[in-house]
Amino acid sequence: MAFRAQFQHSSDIGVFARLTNSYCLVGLGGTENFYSVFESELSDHIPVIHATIAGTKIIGRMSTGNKNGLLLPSTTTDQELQLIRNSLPDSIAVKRIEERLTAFGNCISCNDYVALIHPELDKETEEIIADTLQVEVFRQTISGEALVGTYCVFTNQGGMVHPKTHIEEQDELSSLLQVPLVSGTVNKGSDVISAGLVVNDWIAFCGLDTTSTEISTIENIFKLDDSKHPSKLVDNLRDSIVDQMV
Amino acid sequence: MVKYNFKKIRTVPDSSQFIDIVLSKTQKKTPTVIHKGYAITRIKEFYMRKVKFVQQTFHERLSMIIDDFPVLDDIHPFYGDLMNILYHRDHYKLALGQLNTARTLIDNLSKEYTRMLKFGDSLYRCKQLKRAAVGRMCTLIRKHNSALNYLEQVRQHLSRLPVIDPTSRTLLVCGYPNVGKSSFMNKITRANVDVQPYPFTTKSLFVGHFDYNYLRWQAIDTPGILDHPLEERNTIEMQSITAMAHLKASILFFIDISEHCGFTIKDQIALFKSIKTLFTGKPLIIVLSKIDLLKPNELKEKDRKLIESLIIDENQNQNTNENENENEDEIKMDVKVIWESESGILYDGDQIKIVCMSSLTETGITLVKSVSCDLLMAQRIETKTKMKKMTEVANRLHVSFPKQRDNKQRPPQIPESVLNARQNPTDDEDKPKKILERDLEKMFGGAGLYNVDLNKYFILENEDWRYDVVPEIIDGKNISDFVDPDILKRLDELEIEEEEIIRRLQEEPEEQEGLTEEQEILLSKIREKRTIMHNDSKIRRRRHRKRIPRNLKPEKTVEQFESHLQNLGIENAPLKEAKKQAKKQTRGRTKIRKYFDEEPTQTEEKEETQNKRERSLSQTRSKLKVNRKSRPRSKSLIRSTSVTDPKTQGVKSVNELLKVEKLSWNVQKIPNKLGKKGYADHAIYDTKPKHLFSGKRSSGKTDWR
Repeated sequence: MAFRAQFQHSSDIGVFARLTNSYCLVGLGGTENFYSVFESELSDHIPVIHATIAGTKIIGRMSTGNKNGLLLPSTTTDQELQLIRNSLPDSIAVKRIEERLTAFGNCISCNDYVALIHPELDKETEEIIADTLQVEVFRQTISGEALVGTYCVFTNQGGMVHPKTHIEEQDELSSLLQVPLVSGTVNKGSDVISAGLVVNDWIAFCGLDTTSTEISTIENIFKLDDSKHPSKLVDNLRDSIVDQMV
Repeated sequence: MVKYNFKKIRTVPDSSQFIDIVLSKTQKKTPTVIHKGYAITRIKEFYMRKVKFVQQTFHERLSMIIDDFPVLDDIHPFYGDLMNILYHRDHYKLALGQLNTARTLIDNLSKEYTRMLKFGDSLYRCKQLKRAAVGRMCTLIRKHNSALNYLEQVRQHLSRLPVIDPTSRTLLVCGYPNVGKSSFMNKITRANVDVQPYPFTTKSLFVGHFDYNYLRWQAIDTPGILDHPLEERNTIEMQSITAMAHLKASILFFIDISEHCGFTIKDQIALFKSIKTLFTGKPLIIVLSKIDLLKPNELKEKDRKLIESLIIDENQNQNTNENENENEDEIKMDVKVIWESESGILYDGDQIKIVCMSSLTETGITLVKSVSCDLLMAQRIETKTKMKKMTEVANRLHVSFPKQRDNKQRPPQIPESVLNARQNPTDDEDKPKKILERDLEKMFGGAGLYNVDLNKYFILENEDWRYDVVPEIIDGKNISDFVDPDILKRLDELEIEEEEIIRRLQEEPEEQEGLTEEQEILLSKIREKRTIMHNDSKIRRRRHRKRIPRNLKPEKTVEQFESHLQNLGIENAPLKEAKKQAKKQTRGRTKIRKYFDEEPTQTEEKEETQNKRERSLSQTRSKLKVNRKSRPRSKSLIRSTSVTDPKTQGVKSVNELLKVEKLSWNVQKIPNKLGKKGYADHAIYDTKPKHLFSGKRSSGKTDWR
């Protein structure tokens, strides 16, 4: 299922939340409305916790993680780290990394098996990512954008990339990540996909501005329901996409 | 894409309001005070400015009106025709044209009068000219009162027109009056069109929106039309006709088969035939409405034939078109209208369909909607796929599937609980309602007052630890640094490694070689010289250095000159000669100097006795103090005595002078003691005191300050 949500009147919910298959971090905001959207859907299955990183609530952009681990930038304070460690089960490795680029959410994009990283990340960081998250790591750009974390979102079942990605590049990425990919938008045409979309293997949350065509694309490509499948995407949505875009 | 928003047009004032606006603006924005005594150029300027300002304001306001209103030929033909029907094209164009001519006339008037004002020779005449100019402009506007009133009405009506996007996905509902068009609209959209049991309830176009197939659609409800020639149609009917003629939409032609609307099926078919030219190239759905009153299979044979004839006509039309193009043999179309159809679709052609429905029982409504939307969509997609822009969105329609690159399995990681919940979906009502943070927040005072309990969800070994206070710093040490149990061991390892590195570094021979002593001395010298040069140039380049006046510069003495010449090895005989010469020559004044500086010689004493004239008192006091005794004047030079010290004037003796001085000191004593201001202390501290130069009027507006 895909849900629409909003964080303090901003549709860029991916900035304020980090969702994986084993936990969910939500930025500590003014009200609990945003947290409760996640809480009501997820708290039966995985821990949903409040967090801040370096005193900010933009945790979606500052951190990255998957089922196996969580990577935090060096700006994270000891207390914040302790809070996150206390709230997550011990099976999840929480690691704070010394790295020049601190916005891991923008620089790293990963599922439980593969990670794409910004080409300028350190060699050491790359190793730590591979160890902590237990993934294969690839240095990559997406349609000329080095911020792979911003312009693509993928889970173990599917992924969405920047709307201007060429078909060949898309095929190449798909083979690299071993998941079906489609190029698309969120939040009524926004190309910063990971800002408008938080998704794991069974549930998705997207910004309040997201149109029904976009939601339908998301549900199909990420296989959020048994009835949904990437192969059905083009059949179902071709007409509406063509009519809107052309 | 052009967006049609007629709500932006600004209000059009009527002529008297217009004049009021312009004149009061002129009064506010131009100077108002003029005097007879002013220079005539200034007076002329004053009135010319007034005239020009009035003209400018009129021009501005009129241009605003002219630009705001849409140009009929530029907008979408649907709106063009609609406006023609509602407001009459000629009338509309005439009104705007009149304003346009008024604008040029006003411009000309102002030109003419400013020219005349140039020859004005008195305040009175200038004023009369201005009055005439402004008066004529106002009269001109007053004459166009009707045009302004008309435009205001048009504006009000335009702003109330429904916002129809002529290029968007549209369903157009049309048919005879009272056949159930508006009821259908109300069922599929939330337009809330008025429905009444009498014909011509709907008198203008109505728009409603609905979602279908992930897209937003607009449905347009048109007023009912009767079957008579186009020329006899009234405004209300013409609105429907325009919409049908110009909008690329799905046409839903409603036929009331129960004939409860008061018109027979025959009439309704006749209407269809008379306006069918408007439907060419558009998806057409014939909707048989009010089937709750009369089912299609209960229709009389005569009426069935009529409806079938409609299809035959339409198909023949298409065929003839095709034949013209492709020269194929005519194929006799077999019309199969299934009157007992279960699905509700009675006839399913490519471009024409017959569907039945009832708004009352809501049977067939969604069917009508989906059939018409799908037909239009198919047509739109067909045209759009041929467009060039299609290549740009090709990637949006492409799902890349991965090629297997290794044998590793990458299954999705969905928790058991999620899968279970998916397989056994429970109704929301069955589940006990979870208390969310949002509910807690509401309970405990709302946002801003409620503090989230972050410790609540900690995963701990011992429940007692949950609310333990963990200090951040103990004994000046951050405890987070010691959370790792084997931190000390690792620290030791690191230290050993560091020592190793240091040892290795020390073992390696130093490759850097120092300088020899000689070189070092040289280096220091070079550095010294460089700093000196640097400082010198710094001083030379200083921009705001204090200039040394020429007469204070140390002059070169003769000795310096001599030594310099000696250094150069030049014979200085001529210099010595010159020095001798200089010594020989005496100047007149030196005599007197000598007189004061040295003790008087014998010969001079003689002279003194010979010349017993008293020395004048024109000497300074200091001199007097030094040399009290009177001296003879020099022999040769007599200085002019015209300039005398004012202090010594009228004083007979030195003692008297001293006395006078003492008295003046005493007089000054008290003022000096009190620190009072004397005349000599007069000063102007502020040449432009603020209180005299500040005010509401900016500088240059008045001339008496």
